Amino acid sequence: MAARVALVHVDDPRVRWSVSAAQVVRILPAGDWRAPLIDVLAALGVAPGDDRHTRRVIIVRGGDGHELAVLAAGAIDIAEVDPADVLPLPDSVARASPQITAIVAFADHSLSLLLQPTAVLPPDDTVPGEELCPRRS
Amino acid sequence: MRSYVPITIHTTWVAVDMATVREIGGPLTWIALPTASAALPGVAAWRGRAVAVADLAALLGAGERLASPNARVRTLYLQHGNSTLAVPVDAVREPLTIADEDIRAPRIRTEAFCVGEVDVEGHTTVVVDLGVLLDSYRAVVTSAPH
Repeated sequence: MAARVALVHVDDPRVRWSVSAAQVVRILPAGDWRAPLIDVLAALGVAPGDDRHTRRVIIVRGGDGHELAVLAAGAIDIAEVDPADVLPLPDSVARASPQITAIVAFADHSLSLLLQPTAVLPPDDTVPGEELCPRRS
Repeated sequence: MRSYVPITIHTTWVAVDMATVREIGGPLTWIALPTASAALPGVAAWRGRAVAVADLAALLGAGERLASPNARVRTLYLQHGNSTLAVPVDAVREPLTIADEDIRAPRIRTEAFCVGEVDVEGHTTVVVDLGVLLDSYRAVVTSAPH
């Protein structure tokens, strides 16, 4: 039996999304974060949400160690899923959605988008001298 | 002679080649992709994999667009090459066997994917070639800037 995959799920009222827990460095209240944030859904073209929902910041790390601060608007759940329930996007839509690697199918038949936040804003897009997520030493 | 499955989207009658139909199911739960088009607006889980959802209403300009997470009361799962599509529809009728000579040249629609017309239960029904439809859509996606 394959090992289960730990994911961080964000129940954003616009669309539910998830990110690999292995990429998550820490999660903190939005009020504790003073640097710029990335709204990954807005970056993908979804209209910004309102402020009525719980807002936290998820710090994710890309493969090159680059860290991004991502807005999580909605309840957060950290849960393991069966790898068989992580379904890669079909070719017909994957080309248009490189930031979305798969969908996660839950037992209640609901779905979530598995995002690759570091693909939403590649490190090359950051302004020289400005870090979206200041490194801590 | 070929078998077709008549379906309806709002008031539009469409016939698809029975050979492309893998399954006819109930309402579909799907999720919208923010970067997707109106024609292929999202994905759904089917038989342990993700399949693209096609909105015939958007493609045909007929009826209301799909709104995630729920869809229409029936879903056709169609196979074209290596691709499987989930197509929510309002109704599915009994498959019909239709002689090629009974399919008229299309008049009410002129898009390339509308390959003919036939009368079903007194309704002018557009015979749709799913392959042509998808290929024309893919050409747009492939050439679109990201």
